[in-house]
Amino acid sequence: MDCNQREELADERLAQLHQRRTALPFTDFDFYRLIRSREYLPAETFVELAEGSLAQAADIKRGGIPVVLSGIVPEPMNVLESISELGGRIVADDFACCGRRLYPRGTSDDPFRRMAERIVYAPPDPTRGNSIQERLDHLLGLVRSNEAKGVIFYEVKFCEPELFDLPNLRKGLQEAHIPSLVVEVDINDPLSHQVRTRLEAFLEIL
Amino acid sequence: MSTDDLFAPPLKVSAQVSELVARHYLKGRHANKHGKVAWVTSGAPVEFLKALNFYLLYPENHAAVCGARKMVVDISSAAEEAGYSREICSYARTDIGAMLSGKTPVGKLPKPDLLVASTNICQTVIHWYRVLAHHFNVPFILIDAPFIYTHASDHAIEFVKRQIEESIPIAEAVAGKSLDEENLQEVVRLSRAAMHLWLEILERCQHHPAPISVFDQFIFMAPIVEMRGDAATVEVYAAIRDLTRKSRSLIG
Repeated sequence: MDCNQREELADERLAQLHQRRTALPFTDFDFYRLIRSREYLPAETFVELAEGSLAQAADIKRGGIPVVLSGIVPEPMNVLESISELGGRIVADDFACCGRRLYPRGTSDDPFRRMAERIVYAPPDPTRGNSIQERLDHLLGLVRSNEAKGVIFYEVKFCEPELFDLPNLRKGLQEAHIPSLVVEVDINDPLSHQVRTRLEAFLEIL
Repeated sequence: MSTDDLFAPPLKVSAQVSELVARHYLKGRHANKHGKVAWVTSGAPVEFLKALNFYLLYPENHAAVCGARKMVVDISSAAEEAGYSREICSYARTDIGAMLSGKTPVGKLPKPDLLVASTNICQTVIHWYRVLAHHFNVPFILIDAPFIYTHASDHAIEFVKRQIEESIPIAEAVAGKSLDEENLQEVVRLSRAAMHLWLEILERCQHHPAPISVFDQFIFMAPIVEMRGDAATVEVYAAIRDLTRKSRSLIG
C-alpha cells in the first residue's frame, strides 16, 4: 500500500466515523478528540484506532437537541462539553479542521494530480474559494440529512474567510426556517460564561 | 487647528486629477444604460475589459472617497446591521454598506455586469468579491497572483497569463462582442504609457524633500486603476510628471 492509498484509507475511516457518529458510544467531546487525532497520528495508526471505534457502534438513540456546528475549529474544546451539558447534540459539522477535511478518493494514477483532486473535491470551504451558494447548499444538506434543528456558527475572532460569508449563510438558513446563532471566540481564552449563556438561550429556543 | 491644517497645501495638478475622477464617477451614474460595467480591484488586469468597452469601477477608490467625505461610519453601519463584522476590512465594509443601502457620496454607483479581482493586492478581495458575486448574481473572475519574492519565474508568469486568457471568453460573453485585437493593442499602448509615467512620478519621491506626499500618491492612483488605457489618463500623469520635475511650482 503506497502513501496515497494509506492516507485515502485513513480519510475513508474518518468519513465513516462522521457518518456513524450518533451510533458511537462517545460524548461529543470524546468524538472530536478521536476525529481530530487524524491531524497528527500516522495514517495507519489512525486507521487502527478508527476501526476499533467503529466496531463499538451500536443501534442506540442518543438524546439531545440535534445541531450542526460551523466554523474553523472547535477550540477551546470545552465548548463541546457545554453544548452537551446544555442539552444539545452535535449531529454534523462544517468545521474547516473537521467536516471540511472529508477528502474523497482521487481517481488519477499521477500521485500529485490525485492529491490535487482530493483537495479540489472536498466539501466547500471559504478558505479555498468556494462560492457562498455552494457553502449554503452544503450547510442545508447537513441540516436536512441529519435532521438538525439549528446551526451554531462558532467563529474564531478576526477570521475574514468566515466573517465575510456569515450574513448570506444566515440569511439563506433563515429563508429555510433554520435558526442559527453566531458565537465569536478567541481560541486563546477559556470559554466565557457569556458564550455559555448564549448557547443555552439558543438551545432553549430550539 | 483643523486636521486639514496638518497636511500640505493642495497641489496645482490635484484639481486636474479630481476633475478626471469626478467626470468618471459622473459617467458611472448612467453607465448601466449605455453599456456593460465591471467592478475591478486595484492592479487587476483591465486592458481586455477596456478593449471590450466596459465601464470600470474601482470599489476601493470609492471607499476612499467615502472616507474623504467622512461618510464611512454612516455607510458601513448598513453593512454591520446586515451582520458584517466590524473586524472585516473597512474598505469592504464601506462598499458592502453602499451596495446594501444605496448611500454614496458620488450620487449613484452603476451595478456590475462582471466582477474582476486579483490577489496581487490582497487575499481579502477573494472574500469581498464573493459577497458581491452572491449579491449581484453576476460572473466573478479571480486572477490569482503567486507570491514573488525575488523575480517572477516563467511558470509564475505563464500561470497568470493563462488565467487572463481564460477570462477573455467570459468577459466577451458578458460584453456580447469579441475582443478586437487592434483595439486591445491601442489600450495596452496607452496603459503602458500611463504606467511608465506613474512609475517615474513614484521614483521621483525618493528625492528629499519628496515632490509629492504619500497622500497625494494614494489620491493620484485612481486613474491608473479604473482609467488605465484612456488617453486622458496619459495626459494627466504627464502633467503630474512635468510638475514633479519643477518641484518649486508644485504648490498652488
